[in-house]
Amino acid sequence: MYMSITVSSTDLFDFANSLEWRGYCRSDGRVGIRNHRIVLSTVALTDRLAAAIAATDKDSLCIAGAFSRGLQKSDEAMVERFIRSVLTHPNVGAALVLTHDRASAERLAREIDAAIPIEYLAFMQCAGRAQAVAEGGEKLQMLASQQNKLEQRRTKVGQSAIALALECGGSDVSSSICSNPVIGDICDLTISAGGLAVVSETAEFIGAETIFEDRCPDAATRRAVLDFIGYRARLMEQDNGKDYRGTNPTQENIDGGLTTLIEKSMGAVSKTGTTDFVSALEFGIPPCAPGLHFMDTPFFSPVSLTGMMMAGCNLGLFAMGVFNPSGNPLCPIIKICGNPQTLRCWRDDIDVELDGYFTGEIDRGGAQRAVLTRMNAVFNGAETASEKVGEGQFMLPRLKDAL
Amino acid sequence: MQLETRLGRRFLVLDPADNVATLIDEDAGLACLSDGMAIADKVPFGHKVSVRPIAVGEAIVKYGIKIGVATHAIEQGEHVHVHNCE
Repeated sequence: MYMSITVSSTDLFDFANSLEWRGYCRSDGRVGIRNHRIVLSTVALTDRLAAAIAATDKDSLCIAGAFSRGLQKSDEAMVERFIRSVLTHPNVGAALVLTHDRASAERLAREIDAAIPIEYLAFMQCAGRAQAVAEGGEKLQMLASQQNKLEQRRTKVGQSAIALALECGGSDVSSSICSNPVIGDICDLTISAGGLAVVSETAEFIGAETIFEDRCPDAATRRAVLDFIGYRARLMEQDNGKDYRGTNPTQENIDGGLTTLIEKSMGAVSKTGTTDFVSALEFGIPPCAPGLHFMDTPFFSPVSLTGMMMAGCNLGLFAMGVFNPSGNPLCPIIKICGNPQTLRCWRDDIDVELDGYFTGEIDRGGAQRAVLTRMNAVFNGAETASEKVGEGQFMLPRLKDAL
Repeated sequence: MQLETRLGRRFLVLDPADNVATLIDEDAGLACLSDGMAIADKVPFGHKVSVRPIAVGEAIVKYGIKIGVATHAIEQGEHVHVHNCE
């Protein structure tokens, strides 16, 4: 029987302390684990141009989210929040910002107060596409030389620099009894070291509301979390009343052995570990304090990962059951999988293999070490599986109709 | 050298109050658990089987909590999933 698993948190704590953590210290006190030179497309009209410019510089990262124009105020504010979050993200070292028109470029240049080198380029102001790509490429080279002058480099930091995005996708029994509980252990460790963690996908908490009674000492935070969950539950009922089970757990969850929403919720909730929830955040809002935070997001992982990246998370832990390719190019996502069937085909897309947990080759302590070892390597610069292939999307939640 | 003979399926009961076990191997051809209890065959990896008879309307318990209710009478060793639990 594998039911009596001893978790030796003291050993894990000592092990974590024996590792060296090196990151980029930013002027706002946050720490980056990457130093990306980004090409940021602020509107869909410049997405193709952004890709073409980024292709001229192998060290650059293209960030494009197919953002619309003519949005109502709440959606417009969300795009603005995205732009601001990306330009101040700790994993960004320099940025080329693309707009369609000059007024937008001038406004952003005036309003964005970021401590990194930033250049702006308005597509309409260019003399043809070829010239636009060439000018963008030149600006990237200028940014690269500014980064060199600034001597942006890694220095030794504490584990309090870890800002975790907690995620699961393609959930199945392996994530609920193996990957998520182990992520919960790492979350507890991170928070005890003074770091922070954000968990999202509000709908996954439907059915597990009672945990907030025990783990939410601040009444206003508890109320806010329960309101977020209640709102998503009502939306799902209104939209999908008869076929509720078909939405969540999804068909792939059911195929993996999860029967009910509560069962799925308990699996997902276990990745938050055991500490108290400090705050309830709206989509993409950065936490103001260390500790564990709840963020209200839709359940589609590219969207929820975008929200947690916007919150300033510098690293993600993702429990994968059946295959799910989600990642986030700006916030490296460590994919953890215990499902032997998934591992048979998808090893290239997985960072930590925990199938030994099912065969009895490793215990829970061994699984914790495997995750922490990989997390330390990724923190210090090792590429994740999804970084290697450039996997991941930037997606905002849909709020209202476009005008 | 020690050879292990697998006569039944590897499983996990997360809490003593649970009335279901989760199968954590892929030997779907076997029709018993590693402790000898007879179960349905062809139950996939990650799915649940009952470890005692469960009456209609009775709670399905996993993690020590009620995760659902039996919609049909469930025999000991039967596959527990969306067809008999909601």
